[in-house]
This record gives sequence, C-alpha cells and structure tokens, in this order.
Amino acid sequence: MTSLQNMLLIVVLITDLTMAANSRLGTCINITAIQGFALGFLPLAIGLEKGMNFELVAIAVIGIALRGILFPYILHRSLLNSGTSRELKPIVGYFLSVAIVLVLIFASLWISIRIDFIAPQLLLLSTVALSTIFAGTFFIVGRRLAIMQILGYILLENGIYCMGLAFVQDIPMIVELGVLFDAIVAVFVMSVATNKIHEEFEHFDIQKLDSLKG
Amino acid sequence: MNMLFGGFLAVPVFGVLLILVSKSSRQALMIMLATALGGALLSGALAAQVAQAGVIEVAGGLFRADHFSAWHMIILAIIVFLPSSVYAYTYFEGGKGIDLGYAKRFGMLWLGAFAAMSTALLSGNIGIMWVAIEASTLFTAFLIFRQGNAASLEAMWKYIIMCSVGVAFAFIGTLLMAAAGQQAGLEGGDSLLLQKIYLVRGALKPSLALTAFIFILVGYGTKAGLAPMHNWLPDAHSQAPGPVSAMFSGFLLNAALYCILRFLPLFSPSDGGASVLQGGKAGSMLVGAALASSKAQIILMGFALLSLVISSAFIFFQKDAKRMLAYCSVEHMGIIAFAYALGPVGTIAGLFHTLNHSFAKTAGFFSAGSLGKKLHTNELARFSGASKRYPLYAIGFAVSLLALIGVAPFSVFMSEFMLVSSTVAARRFVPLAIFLAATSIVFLVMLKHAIAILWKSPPDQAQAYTPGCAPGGTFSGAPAIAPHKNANPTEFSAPSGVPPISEYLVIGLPLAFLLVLGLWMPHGLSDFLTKALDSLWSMK
Repeated sequence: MTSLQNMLLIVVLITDLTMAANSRLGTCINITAIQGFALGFLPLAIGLEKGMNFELVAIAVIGIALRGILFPYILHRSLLNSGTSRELKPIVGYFLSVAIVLVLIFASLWISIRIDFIAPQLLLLSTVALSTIFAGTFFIVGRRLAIMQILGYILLENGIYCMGLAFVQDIPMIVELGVLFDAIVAVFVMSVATNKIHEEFEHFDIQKLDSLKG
Repeated sequence: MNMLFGGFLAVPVFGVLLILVSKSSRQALMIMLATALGGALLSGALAAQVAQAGVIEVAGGLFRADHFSAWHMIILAIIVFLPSSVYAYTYFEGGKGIDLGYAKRFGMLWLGAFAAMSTALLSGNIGIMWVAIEASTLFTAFLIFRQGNAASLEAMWKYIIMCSVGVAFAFIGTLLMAAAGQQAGLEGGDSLLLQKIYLVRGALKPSLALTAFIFILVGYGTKAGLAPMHNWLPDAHSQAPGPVSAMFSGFLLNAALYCILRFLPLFSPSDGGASVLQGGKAGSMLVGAALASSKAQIILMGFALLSLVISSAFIFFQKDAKRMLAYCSVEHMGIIAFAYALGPVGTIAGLFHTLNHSFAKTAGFFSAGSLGKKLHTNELARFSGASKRYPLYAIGFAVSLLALIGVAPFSVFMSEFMLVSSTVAARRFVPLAIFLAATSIVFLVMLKHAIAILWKSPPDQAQAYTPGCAPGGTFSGAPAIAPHKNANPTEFSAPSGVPPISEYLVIGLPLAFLLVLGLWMPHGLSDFLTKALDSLWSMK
C-alpha cells in the first residue's frame, strides 16, 4: 500500500464518521459522493504501484462516474422532490451514532488483525472495508428516513467493493461490472420508491409504514 | 450449444424491446406472453440437450448447465413462468384493466425477472450468480407496487431493503469463498468458478469456507424466505397482483434456494452422489460417509426447522388467504431445505418436492388471486362457501390447499412421504419429529379452510366488512384490493361471467399433473432426478 492508497482509504474512514454526525440529508449525500470519489481513484492508485492496465482504468472511470456523480445526482433529485432537508429524530442519536461507528471501526481493525490470510499491507484496506460495511448496515437500521437507508445501502456496497479488493485477487471484470450495474439499478429503484412513498404518504419516515403485520 | 445460452438473454431482451414500441396494453401483454412461450421452448430444448449430452459449458465454465440446473430451469420457465404469463393476461383482462404505461412497465419487468432468474440458474460463476439474484430483486420490486395502494408500497419498500441488504451479505460470503479458493491454490478468476472450487474442496480452510457458507445462507436465505429472515415475504406476496405472487412463490424463492444448494457439495467429504446411488441400487442400508452430515448441512437443517415451526404458527392464526399461502411458501421452502440438508439421501425428495410445490402454489395463487378480485377481499372468512358462486376459483383454491398439505393422491404426498422415509433412513429422529408436528398443524388448519370454502354456507351478508379488521378483532393487514364497504349484496350472489378457458387451463392443468404424478412416476422423470442428484453432489 502506497501513501496515496492509504490517504484515499483514510478519506473513506473519515466519511463514515462524518455521515454518523450529520443530520442534513444534502450534506450526507455529498459525503457519500466524496467517498465514491476516493474509492473510484483507488484502482488508479493501485495501478500506479503495480502497473496500469485497461481494466483498472475502466473500473476507476465507471466507479467515479457512478459512485461520485450519478448516485449523488439521483439522490439530490429525490431530496428536492420531497422538500425534506434533515432527519430530526433518528432512532439512534447523533452523538451515540458517532460513538457506535468509532466502536465499529475498532472492531473491524480487531477482526482484520485476526484474519490470518490478510497480508499485513492490506490491513488498512480490510479495516476500511469491514467498517464501511458495518456503518452502512448501521445506517439502514438506525435511521428513519428512506433516503438515509439508501445512503446506508450505498455505504454497504462501497464496503463490499473494498472487501473484494482486499480479499480476492483479480475478480473478472464481467463480475465487477455486473456488481456495479446492480448497485446503480438498486439506487435508482430505491429512489423512485422513495418518491412514490412521498407521493403516497407525504413523508418518508419508514418507521410509520407499519400497516402490514402477522 | 452457445446459441441456447445466448437465447436465454436474447429472447427476453427482444421481448422487452418489442414491448417498448407496443401501441396498446393488449399488445404489450401479448408480446409478454409470446416471449414467455419462447423461454419455455428454450428451456425445454436445454433440458433435452442436457439429458443427451450431460453437462454443457460455455465461456470456460462461466455459464454451465447440468441436470440439476436444467431441472430448475424447466420448473422456472414451463411450470411457473408460462402459466403465470397466461394468467397475467386474463388477470388484467387482456389489457382492458390497465393503462398502456402500466402494461409496458409490467411486461418489461416481468421479462427482466425471467432473464435474471435464468441467468442465476445457468451461471457456473458464483459472482455472476450473485449479480443475477440481485438483479431479480430489482426487477421484481416494482411488480409488487400498484398505483394508489399504500400497503403495496410499504410491502415493496420492505422487500427492496431486506432483500438487497440480505443479498449483499451473500456477496460477502461469495468473496470469502473465493478467498478460500485462492488460498487453496486457485488462480484469480478461477476462484469464482463453482466447478473449480469443488475440485479443491479438500484443501479449503474449513473455518473460512464455513463462514462464507453462513453469509451465503443468511444472504440468499433472506430472498428464499427462510425463517427468521422471512419478514418481507408475506407482505410482498399478499400485496402483489395475483400473477406476481404466483411467480414469487412458484420460483423466485426457489431461485435463491438453488444458489444456497449449489454450495452444499463443497462441504461433503466424499463423492456423495454416486455412493448413495450404489447403496440404493444394492438395496442395502445406507451407511457411512453418505449419511454423515457436514456442518453446512446441519446449519441448513437448523434454518429449515425454524422455517417449519414459525410458518406453522403463523398459518394457525392467519385470517388472510394470500398471507396464508405466503406462510405456506415459507413452510415449503423449509421442507425443501430440510430435504437437501439430509444430504444425497434426501435430494430426490427435495427435487421432486420443488416441482410439486411450484405446481400447487401457482394454481393456489391463481385461484386465490381471482377469488380475491371477485369478492373484493382476501379475508379467509369471506371465502367460505364461495364454491357456489365462483366454482372454478373456489374449487381450484380448495384443491390446491389440499394438494399443498399433502392429501394422499397428490404428488406432494409422495414427495413428503419420500422425505420422511429418507429421514428415517438417515436416522434423524429429532428433526423428523419437528417436521411431522409442524406439517400436521398446517395440515389441520388448511384442511379446515378448504372444507369451509367447499361446503360451508356463505357468511352472513349483513355482517359489514371493516377493512383490515378480522372478526376476531386482530389486525390482519390491509386487504389487497380496497373492499367495497357498502357493496350491493346482489353483486355477491349474482353469478359472474364465465371464466375464460385459459383460466381453467392454468388452474386445472397443474392440479391434474399433481394428481397424475402422485399416482404414476414416469421412468424418464425418475431417471432425470437421479442424474440431477448426481450433478448436484458430485458436479458431473
């Protein structure tokens, strides 16, 4: 891992933390955009170290276009439609959220140290991967608004992407592209669904959707 | 052979393009129907090829078809998808019931779901398999939604979030499995090829492979509706339009379960399939390695039993017909998982039960969907005595309930009987006891409902229906179709128009097949099943 790669990974970790602290939905979307850029540049940084090839460049370009630009754009549009700007009463408070994400980061570090097949130079990558997966899952469970759940899902996907880099060498490009394609359709479908929820209920508080039971 | 694999992608894509330019909702539905027929023919051709040539591989194993996947392909395309498409055509009254936008959207998503599921079945690469299953979630999500129906929106959101997150966990499992493969000496992309991982399964690090399997089981298990990850399922099945519920229950769950099952042989120590076959042919007691359960099988058994217990409890208290069928799906997924968790011994029963369940469940959802549409409610209490007013739907529904619970001449009875006898052969008496207890509860409760539908007199018309509130006072969920509170009583008693011939076919034929298969198992079929067993457990 070169210092450039490490820097990008640190950016990802910081974005996980700032997400937890923020109540403004617009800001949260921008934070995931920053994370998307950092992750998008990661293949290029790896290419600088190990030799650039077409696959790495393609994955970087597509990754930046989707995670850095397209996802935030789709979500900002959903947000505009809704007129909501911040999440006022999250299920888990903001201070506690930051604490939880910090704990999750340390837990990821601990797990990464214990996984014996991870090369020492990939320790940071694996920590970032696991903590982003955990943080994403946490946002899906711990926030009420549909948009925050979508952001949680994006974090989860980002984390899994890092995990692929850390654990498996040379994933075939067709698989990589398929995963990216699924991610984009998922974000698109979820944001259309949020718009529908907003049309139908005049809010998108998922906690209030509880008519189906039993 | 390449042509066949290409066809499974090309035919739906061609259909989608045609639907895009279609001029009326009738046209869009007709194109959907034609494409479904094309898919059914393709999968028939594929099965014939596989029966002749054994395993077919293209692109270095990226796509792969053997008896096991061909068997599921037949169930997907011929037994579930084609009838559901025919039913969708009549459900939407040949396009009269819906506007063009909805018809186009429905047709495209419907075909997209078919393409995604067939890709999942035909991929030999666990990465592609994951991509296809996730894609099938995304294609099917909007099929649940109906404009102006708040409850369907809620069900759809639950479905997308739960299944996307669940399936994301399956991807973590996929990556871990690939990592285990690379540790065992596989190079790069080979570590995602199931066949290659199988060949090095002895060298996989047990703890890592098992962790991977748990992630895969929980992930795909969410989509397969195994308890306790089944929460999205009753909502989605009850809120979706009839044909969609049938497709969900008939195959979407099986597609996810198929992915889990594909990983099971990686944990079996010996060449399980063949040894059991020889044991069976010699008529001797099944002993030794073939009966030893791997840890993966034991964990799968745990989820299977939990699904059986939880679903039987929910069926016991169920007031809504479509929700009852949905929980019944959880139960049957549990039964199928149970069969495979026994190992090669139970596999034939599992394969046969998959077929039987898909037959019975599609017929059940078709008739329940139409009955609900006619009666403007899905409440079970309102279904009683419906056989006098809507004989096809009511009798169809009641008979499919009887088939589902395993009443004797139907083949569900045969597959459950095979399952019980192989459980005894495998000496798994505690799981057997739980299985029998749960299925008996379901048997009694659903038998009661079937009898009520067939012979009880219709409920008192004066008793006004209050939406969402069952007579017992418990909240049973919003009905799928807004009930007419002040419905004219004559509307209920007047005989409706005669159902179209196609409905007689899609409801009657599956039930007839169940009856025939229960009485007589063709030699070719049992031969195919044996080969499917072998292709699952020894990958040949």
